[in-house]
Amino acid sequence: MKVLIIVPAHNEEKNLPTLIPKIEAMGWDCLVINDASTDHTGDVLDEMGVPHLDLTNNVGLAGVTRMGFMYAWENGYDCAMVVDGDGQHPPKYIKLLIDKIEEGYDYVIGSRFVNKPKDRSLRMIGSRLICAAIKLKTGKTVTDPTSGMRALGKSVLEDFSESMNFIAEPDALTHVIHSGHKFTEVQVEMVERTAGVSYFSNVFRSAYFMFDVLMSILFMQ
Amino acid sequence: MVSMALSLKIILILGSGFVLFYVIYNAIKSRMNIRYAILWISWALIVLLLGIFPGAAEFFSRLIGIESVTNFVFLVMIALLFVFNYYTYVKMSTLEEHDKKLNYELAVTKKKLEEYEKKQ
Repeated sequence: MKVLIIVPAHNEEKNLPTLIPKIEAMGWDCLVINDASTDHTGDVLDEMGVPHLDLTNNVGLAGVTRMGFMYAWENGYDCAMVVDGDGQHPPKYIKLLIDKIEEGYDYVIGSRFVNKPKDRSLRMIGSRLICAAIKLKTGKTVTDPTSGMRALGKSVLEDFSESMNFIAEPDALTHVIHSGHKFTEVQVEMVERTAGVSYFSNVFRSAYFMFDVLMSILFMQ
Repeated sequence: MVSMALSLKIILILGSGFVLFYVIYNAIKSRMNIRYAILWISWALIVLLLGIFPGAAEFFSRLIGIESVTNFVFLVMIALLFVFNYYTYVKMSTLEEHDKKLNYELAVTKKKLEEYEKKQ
Protein backbone atom coordinates (compact mmCIF):
# COMPACT_ATOMS: atom_id res chain seq x y z
CA MET A 1 0.00 0.00 0.00
CA LYS A 2 1.36 3.42 -1.02
CA VAL A 3 1.10 5.80 1.95
CA LEU A 4 1.72 9.55 2.01
CA ILE A 5 2.18 11.43 5.28
CA ILE A 6 1.11 15.05 4.80
CA VAL A 7 2.64 17.56 7.21
CA PRO A 8 1.08 21.05 7.13
CA ALA A 9 3.59 23.56 8.47
CA HIS A 10 3.30 27.27 9.17
CA ASN A 11 6.26 28.85 10.98
CA GLU A 12 7.52 25.56 12.40
CA GLU A 13 11.29 25.95 12.00
CA LYS A 14 11.80 24.74 15.59
CA ASN A 15 9.53 21.67 15.49
CA LEU A 16 10.24 20.20 12.04
CA PRO A 17 13.89 19.14 12.60
CA THR A 18 12.79 16.77 15.39
CA LEU A 19 9.47 15.68 13.84
CA ILE A 20 10.44 14.89 10.23
CA PRO A 21 13.26 12.36 10.90
CA LYS A 22 10.89 10.39 13.13
CA ILE A 23 8.29 10.23 10.34
CA GLU A 24 10.83 9.43 7.63
CA ALA A 25 12.27 6.62 9.77
CA MET A 26 8.96 4.80 9.39
CA GLY A 27 9.57 4.33 5.69
CA TRP A 28 6.49 6.02 4.25
CA ASP A 29 6.60 8.93 1.82
CA CYS A 30 6.34 12.31 3.45
CA LEU A 31 5.25 15.65 2.00
CA VAL A 32 5.65 18.84 4.02
CA ILE A 33 3.54 21.76 2.84
CA ASN A 34 5.01 25.07 3.91
CA ASP A 35 2.06 27.47 4.13
CA ALA A 36 3.92 30.71 3.30
CA SER A 37 5.87 30.72 6.56
CA THR A 38 7.50 33.98 7.56
CA ASP A 39 10.32 32.31 9.52
CA HIS A 40 13.03 30.00 8.12
CA THR A 41 10.80 26.95 7.67
CA GLY A 42 11.57 26.91 3.92
CA ASP A 43 15.35 26.93 4.48
CA VAL A 44 15.09 24.24 7.15
CA LEU A 45 13.16 22.03 4.72
CA ASP A 46 15.70 22.58 1.91
CA GLU A 47 18.49 21.67 4.31
CA MET A 48 16.79 18.47 5.42
CA GLY A 49 16.13 17.48 1.82
CA VAL A 50 12.59 16.32 2.58
CA PRO A 51 10.00 16.58 -0.25
CA HIS A 52 8.02 19.75 0.28
CA LEU A 53 5.85 22.38 -1.37
CA ASP A 54 6.49 26.05 -0.63
CA LEU A 55 3.28 28.04 -1.03
CA THR A 56 3.41 31.67 -2.14
CA ASN A 57 0.25 32.74 -0.33
CA ASN A 58 -1.01 31.70 3.08
CA VAL A 59 -4.04 29.50 2.46
CA GLY A 60 -4.71 28.20 5.98
CA LEU A 61 -4.87 24.67 7.37
CA ALA A 62 -7.96 23.61 5.42
CA GLY A 63 -6.43 24.75 2.13
CA VAL A 64 -3.11 23.06 2.86
CA THR A 65 -4.65 19.68 3.70
CA ARG A 66 -6.77 19.94 0.55
CA MET A 67 -3.60 20.41 -1.53
CA GLY A 68 -2.03 17.44 0.23
CA PHE A 69 -5.01 15.23 -0.63
CA MET A 70 -4.95 16.41 -4.26
CA TYR A 71 -1.24 15.59 -4.46
CA ALA A 72 -1.81 12.16 -2.94
CA TRP A 73 -4.66 11.38 -5.34
CA GLU A 74 -2.80 12.58 -8.45
CA ASN A 75 0.26 10.53 -7.54
CA GLY A 76 -1.63 7.31 -7.01
CA TYR A 77 -1.38 6.92 -3.25
CA ASP A 78 -3.75 4.45 -1.55
CA CYS A 79 -3.71 6.25 1.77
CA ALA A 80 -2.96 9.77 2.96
CA MET A 81 -2.49 10.81 6.54
CA VAL A 82 -2.30 14.25 8.13
CA VAL A 83 0.23 14.89 10.91
CA ASP A 84 0.44 18.47 12.16
CA GLY A 85 3.79 20.20 11.80
CA ASP A 86 3.56 21.74 15.27
CA GLY A 87 4.32 18.38 16.87
CA GLN A 88 0.99 17.92 18.66
CA HIS A 89 0.43 14.56 16.92
CA PRO A 90 3.11 12.13 18.18
CA PRO A 91 4.49 10.04 15.27
CA LYS A 92 4.23 6.82 17.30
CA TYR A 93 0.47 6.72 16.61
CA ILE A 94 0.77 7.01 12.83
CA LYS A 95 1.01 3.24 12.34
CA LEU A 96 -2.17 2.57 14.38
CA LEU A 97 -4.24 4.70 12.00
CA ILE A 98 -2.66 3.34 8.83
CA ASP A 99 -3.24 -0.24 10.06
CA LYS A 100 -6.96 0.53 10.24
CA ILE A 101 -6.94 1.78 6.63
CA GLU A 102 -5.24 -1.48 5.68
CA GLU A 103 -8.05 -3.34 7.48
CA GLY A 104 -10.47 -1.71 5.04
CA TYR A 105 -11.70 1.46 6.74
CA ASP A 106 -11.99 4.59 4.56
CA TYR A 107 -11.53 7.27 7.20
CA VAL A 108 -9.72 6.89 10.52
CA ILE A 109 -9.48 9.57 13.19
CA GLY A 110 -6.95 9.76 15.99
CA SER A 111 -9.24 10.54 18.92
CA ARG A 112 -8.22 11.63 22.40
CA PHE A 113 -11.47 10.42 23.95
CA VAL A 114 -12.27 6.88 22.78
CA ASN A 115 -11.73 5.50 26.29
CA LYS A 116 -10.80 8.64 28.18
CA PRO A 117 -13.33 11.18 29.51
CA LYS A 118 -13.53 14.80 28.37
CA ASP A 119 -12.96 17.53 30.92
CA ARG A 120 -15.45 20.35 31.49
CA SER A 121 -13.53 23.20 29.89
CA LEU A 122 -15.23 25.63 27.50
CA ARG A 123 -13.45 24.02 24.57
CA MET A 124 -14.79 20.57 25.46
CA ILE A 125 -18.31 21.96 25.77
CA GLY A 126 -17.85 23.09 22.17
CA SER A 127 -16.64 19.61 21.26
CA ARG A 128 -19.73 18.04 22.91
CA LEU A 129 -22.04 20.39 20.99
CA ILE A 130 -20.43 19.35 17.71
CA CYS A 131 -20.72 15.65 18.68
CA ALA A 132 -24.42 16.19 19.40
CA ALA A 133 -24.94 17.90 16.02
CA ILE A 134 -23.22 15.03 14.20
CA LYS A 135 -25.31 12.49 16.12
CA LEU A 136 -28.46 14.40 15.16
CA LYS A 137 -27.46 14.57 11.50
CA THR A 138 -25.99 11.11 10.93
CA GLY A 139 -27.07 9.03 13.93
CA LYS A 140 -23.44 8.01 14.53
CA THR A 141 -21.49 8.64 17.74
CA VAL A 142 -18.10 10.31 17.41
CA THR A 143 -15.79 11.23 20.29
CA ASP A 144 -13.28 13.73 18.91
CA PRO A 145 -14.68 15.52 15.85
CA THR A 146 -12.14 18.37 15.86
CA SER A 147 -9.10 16.10 15.74
CA GLY A 148 -6.86 16.96 12.79
CA MET A 149 -4.99 13.64 12.95
CA ARG A 150 -6.69 11.46 10.37
CA ALA A 151 -5.93 8.90 7.69
CA LEU A 152 -7.87 8.67 4.43
CA GLY A 153 -8.35 5.62 2.27
CA LYS A 154 -8.59 5.73 -1.50
CA SER A 155 -12.34 6.34 -1.81
CA VAL A 156 -12.33 9.34 0.55
CA LEU A 157 -9.18 10.62 -1.12
CA GLU A 158 -10.95 10.62 -4.48
CA ASP A 159 -13.96 12.33 -2.92
CA PHE A 160 -11.86 15.04 -1.22
CA SER A 161 -9.60 15.69 -4.18
CA GLU A 162 -12.67 16.53 -6.27
CA SER A 163 -14.21 18.98 -3.84
CA MET A 164 -13.77 19.93 -0.20
CA ASN A 165 -16.38 22.51 0.65
CA PHE A 166 -15.86 22.34 4.42
CA ILE A 167 -15.18 24.78 7.23
CA ALA A 168 -12.94 22.38 9.15
CA GLU A 169 -12.58 18.78 10.36
CA PRO A 170 -16.02 18.30 11.99
CA ASP A 171 -18.11 18.97 8.89
CA ALA A 172 -15.65 17.02 6.73
CA LEU A 173 -16.25 14.08 9.10
CA THR A 174 -20.01 14.60 8.82
CA HIS A 175 -19.75 14.50 5.03
CA VAL A 176 -17.68 11.29 5.18
CA ILE A 177 -20.20 9.52 7.44
CA HIS A 178 -23.18 10.89 5.53
CA SER A 179 -21.91 9.61 2.20
CA GLY A 180 -21.52 6.11 3.59
CA HIS A 181 -17.76 5.71 3.95
CA LYS A 182 -16.50 3.28 6.60
CA PHE A 183 -15.22 5.30 9.52
CA THR A 184 -13.55 4.48 12.84
CA GLU A 185 -11.59 6.08 15.67
CA VAL A 186 -8.31 5.12 17.34
CA GLN A 187 -7.27 6.21 20.83
CA VAL A 188 -4.25 8.56 20.71
CA GLU A 189 -2.62 11.09 23.01
CA MET A 190 -1.90 14.60 21.83
CA VAL A 191 0.79 16.92 23.07
CA GLU A 192 -0.47 20.25 24.40
CA ARG A 193 0.92 23.29 22.64
CA THR A 194 4.00 24.61 24.45
CA ALA A 195 4.76 27.70 22.37
CA GLY A 196 2.64 30.15 20.39
CA VAL A 197 -0.98 31.19 20.78
CA SER A 198 -3.91 29.00 19.80
CA TYR A 199 -6.33 30.25 17.16
CA PHE A 200 -9.13 29.49 19.62
CA SER A 201 -7.89 31.64 22.50
CA ASN A 202 -10.11 34.41 21.16
CA VAL A 203 -13.68 33.90 22.44
CA PHE A 204 -15.39 35.68 19.53
CA ARG A 205 -13.40 33.75 16.99
CA SER A 206 -14.31 30.49 18.72
CA ALA A 207 -17.99 31.43 18.82
CA TYR A 208 -17.90 32.35 15.13
CA PHE A 209 -16.16 29.06 14.33
CA MET A 210 -18.76 27.10 16.31
CA PHE A 211 -21.61 28.85 14.51
CA ASP A 212 -20.10 28.17 11.07
CA VAL A 213 -19.33 24.53 11.85
CA LEU A 214 -22.77 23.80 13.32
CA MET A 215 -24.54 25.46 10.39
CA SER A 216 -22.42 23.47 7.97
CA ILE A 217 -23.03 20.15 9.76
CA LEU A 218 -26.77 20.62 10.16
CA PHE A 219 -27.71 22.14 6.80
CA MET A 220 -25.03 21.64 4.21
CA GLN A 221 -23.40 18.24 4.45
CA MET B 1 -46.53 54.36 14.27
CA VAL B 2 -47.23 52.87 10.84
CA SER B 3 -46.81 49.10 10.99
CA MET B 4 -45.72 46.80 8.19
CA ALA B 5 -48.22 45.99 5.48
CA LEU B 6 -49.19 42.34 5.17
CA SER B 7 -47.92 42.24 1.58
CA LEU B 8 -44.45 43.39 2.72
CA LYS B 9 -44.38 40.64 5.37
CA ILE B 10 -45.27 38.06 2.75
CA ILE B 11 -42.61 39.37 0.36
CA LEU B 12 -39.98 39.26 3.13
CA ILE B 13 -40.87 35.69 4.08
CA LEU B 14 -41.09 34.40 0.51
CA GLY B 15 -37.97 36.28 -0.64
CA SER B 16 -35.77 35.15 2.23
CA GLY B 17 -37.18 31.64 2.05
CA PHE B 18 -36.16 31.48 -1.62
CA VAL B 19 -32.68 32.88 -0.83
CA LEU B 20 -32.24 30.30 1.96
CA PHE B 21 -33.22 27.42 -0.31
CA TYR B 22 -31.09 28.59 -3.22
CA VAL B 23 -27.95 29.32 -1.15
CA ILE B 24 -28.06 25.95 0.63
CA TYR B 25 -28.67 24.18 -2.69
CA ASN B 26 -25.65 25.92 -4.24
CA ALA B 27 -23.42 25.22 -1.24
CA ILE B 28 -24.25 21.51 -1.41
CA LYS B 29 -23.43 21.53 -5.13
CA SER B 30 -20.12 23.19 -4.14
CA ARG B 31 -20.80 26.20 -6.31
CA MET B 32 -20.19 28.59 -3.44
CA ASN B 33 -17.55 28.43 -0.74
CA ILE B 34 -19.24 27.28 2.44
CA ARG B 35 -18.02 30.25 4.51
CA TYR B 36 -19.69 32.74 2.20
CA ALA B 37 -22.76 30.57 1.93
CA ILE B 38 -23.16 30.76 5.72
CA LEU B 39 -22.97 34.58 5.59
CA TRP B 40 -25.78 34.65 3.02
CA ILE B 41 -27.82 32.19 5.04
CA SER B 42 -27.46 34.43 8.10
CA TRP B 43 -28.77 37.35 6.06
CA ALA B 44 -31.73 35.37 4.81
CA LEU B 45 -32.47 34.28 8.40
CA ILE B 46 -32.46 37.88 9.63
CA VAL B 47 -34.88 38.95 6.90
CA LEU B 48 -37.03 35.88 7.53
CA LEU B 49 -37.24 36.75 11.24
CA LEU B 50 -38.23 40.33 10.37
CA GLY B 51 -41.08 38.96 8.25
CA ILE B 52 -42.29 36.43 10.82
CA PHE B 53 -41.96 38.67 13.90
CA PRO B 54 -42.84 42.20 12.82
CA GLY B 55 -43.12 42.99 16.55
CA ALA B 56 -39.32 43.02 16.77
CA ALA B 57 -39.09 45.48 13.88
CA GLU B 58 -41.75 47.65 15.55
CA PHE B 59 -39.85 47.55 18.86
CA PHE B 60 -36.58 48.64 17.29
CA SER B 61 -38.12 51.36 15.13
CA ARG B 62 -39.77 52.83 18.22
CA LEU B 63 -36.42 52.59 20.04
CA ILE B 64 -34.55 54.66 17.45
CA GLY B 65 -37.50 56.90 16.59
CA ILE B 66 -38.45 55.77 13.09
CA GLU B 67 -42.05 56.65 12.24
CA SER B 68 -42.77 53.85 9.79
CA VAL B 69 -41.71 50.23 10.38
CA THR B 70 -41.22 49.77 6.64
CA ASN B 71 -38.45 52.36 6.80
CA PHE B 72 -36.78 50.39 9.56
CA VAL B 73 -36.80 47.31 7.31
CA PHE B 74 -35.18 49.37 4.54
CA LEU B 75 -32.57 50.61 7.02
CA VAL B 76 -31.68 47.05 8.04
CA MET B 77 -31.42 45.97 4.40
CA ILE B 78 -29.17 48.88 3.47
CA ALA B 79 -26.96 48.31 6.53
CA LEU B 80 -26.58 44.63 5.65
CA LEU B 81 -25.75 45.55 2.05
CA PHE B 82 -23.06 47.93 3.27
CA VAL B 83 -21.49 45.26 5.48
CA PHE B 84 -21.51 42.67 2.71
CA ASN B 85 -20.11 45.10 0.18
CA TYR B 86 -17.33 46.18 2.51
CA TYR B 87 -16.45 42.58 3.21
CA THR B 88 -16.29 41.88 -0.53
CA TYR B 89 -13.91 44.79 -1.04
CA VAL B 90 -11.60 43.61 1.74
CA LYS B 91 -11.61 40.14 0.22
CA MET B 92 -11.03 41.52 -3.26
CA SER B 93 -7.98 43.45 -2.04
CA THR B 94 -6.35 40.36 -0.54
CA LEU B 95 -7.12 38.38 -3.67
CA GLU B 96 -5.53 41.04 -5.89
CA GLU B 97 -2.43 40.98 -3.71
CA HIS B 98 -2.32 37.17 -3.90
CA ASP B 99 -2.72 37.33 -7.65
CA LYS B 100 0.30 39.63 -7.99
CA LYS B 101 2.43 37.38 -5.82
CA LEU B 102 1.44 34.28 -7.78
CA ASN B 103 2.13 36.03 -11.07
CA TYR B 104 5.58 37.03 -9.88
CA GLU B 105 6.34 33.59 -8.52
CA LEU B 106 5.27 31.95 -11.79
CA ALA B 107 7.37 34.36 -13.89
CA VAL B 108 10.45 33.75 -11.75
CA THR B 109 9.95 29.98 -11.94
CA LYS B 110 9.61 30.16 -15.75
CA LYS B 111 12.81 32.21 -15.98
CA LYS B 112 14.70 29.74 -13.80
CA LEU B 113 13.43 26.82 -15.87
CA GLU B 114 14.49 28.49 -19.15
CA GLU B 115 17.95 29.20 -17.79
CA TYR B 116 18.20 25.63 -16.58
CA GLU B 117 17.16 24.26 -19.98
CA LYS B 118 19.73 26.43 -21.79
CA LYS B 119 22.46 25.04 -19.58
CA GLN B 120 21.56 21.47 -20.43
